[in-house]
Amino acid sequence: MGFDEKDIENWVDEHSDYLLNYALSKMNDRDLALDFIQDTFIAALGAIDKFEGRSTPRTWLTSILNRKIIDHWRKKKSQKTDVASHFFYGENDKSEGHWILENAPSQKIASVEEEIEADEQVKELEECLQILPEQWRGIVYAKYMEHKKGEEICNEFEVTSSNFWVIVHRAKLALRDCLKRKWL
Amino acid sequence: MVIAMKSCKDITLLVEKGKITRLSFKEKVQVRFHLAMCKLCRNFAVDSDFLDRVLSQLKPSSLKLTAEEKERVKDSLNRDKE
Repeated sequence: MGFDEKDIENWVDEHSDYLLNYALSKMNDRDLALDFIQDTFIAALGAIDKFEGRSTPRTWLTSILNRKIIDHWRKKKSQKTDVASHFFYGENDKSEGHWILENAPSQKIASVEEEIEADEQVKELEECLQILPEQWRGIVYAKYMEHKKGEEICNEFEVTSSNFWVIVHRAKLALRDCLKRKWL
Repeated sequence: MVIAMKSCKDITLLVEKGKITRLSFKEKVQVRFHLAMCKLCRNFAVDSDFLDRVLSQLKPSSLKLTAEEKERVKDSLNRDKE
């Protein structure tokens, strides 16, 4: 079965919105995301002979785009990962691994569950998600919104399973702390 | 079996790991003992469940490219062909 250049133009209409949402679950910069999407279609055009329809066009395009996003993260080494570094004492402290009291969960944010409406909870959570490094947020979206399995997430994000647990752990520490500041 | 004391950092990580994959018997015992003694980690565990509930209510975003943005992508394809 053959695909050709005409198909790619139709694919722009059919799949570019999906690709934009996909990219922005993993990136903050909309303009850069659009550049990557454009590059994805150009790459697809160049490799159309190799696409044999073994996967769907959408899956194929998404995998090209994902490759670009991961390379972008690698280049931009300076990702802020310190958003979760101030919860436990570090290696050189005799209290290593224990909670730093002022940032510890001395109260439960879950205690507000009854008082704050579900819509409001989700809205503030979405604001808090914006403080996470792009890779962590992408993983949180993949896990909770798209309900992807651990193995699938590890492949897509090119992380080991223990890395995956660590990222979920840190992301939840940071999200909890952000919500605490809003609610308690 | 010797159960080494684990720090709060380790235990809260195990709490998250245990939601994703099965913990070993030793890990389960470590978590249970620690949570029995440590109120801060118990609070974290409760809030972690709370976050799971709120996070699962997130809805996929439905952003769209503008008509001009789509045209620009198509133009770039045509340029590339030449």
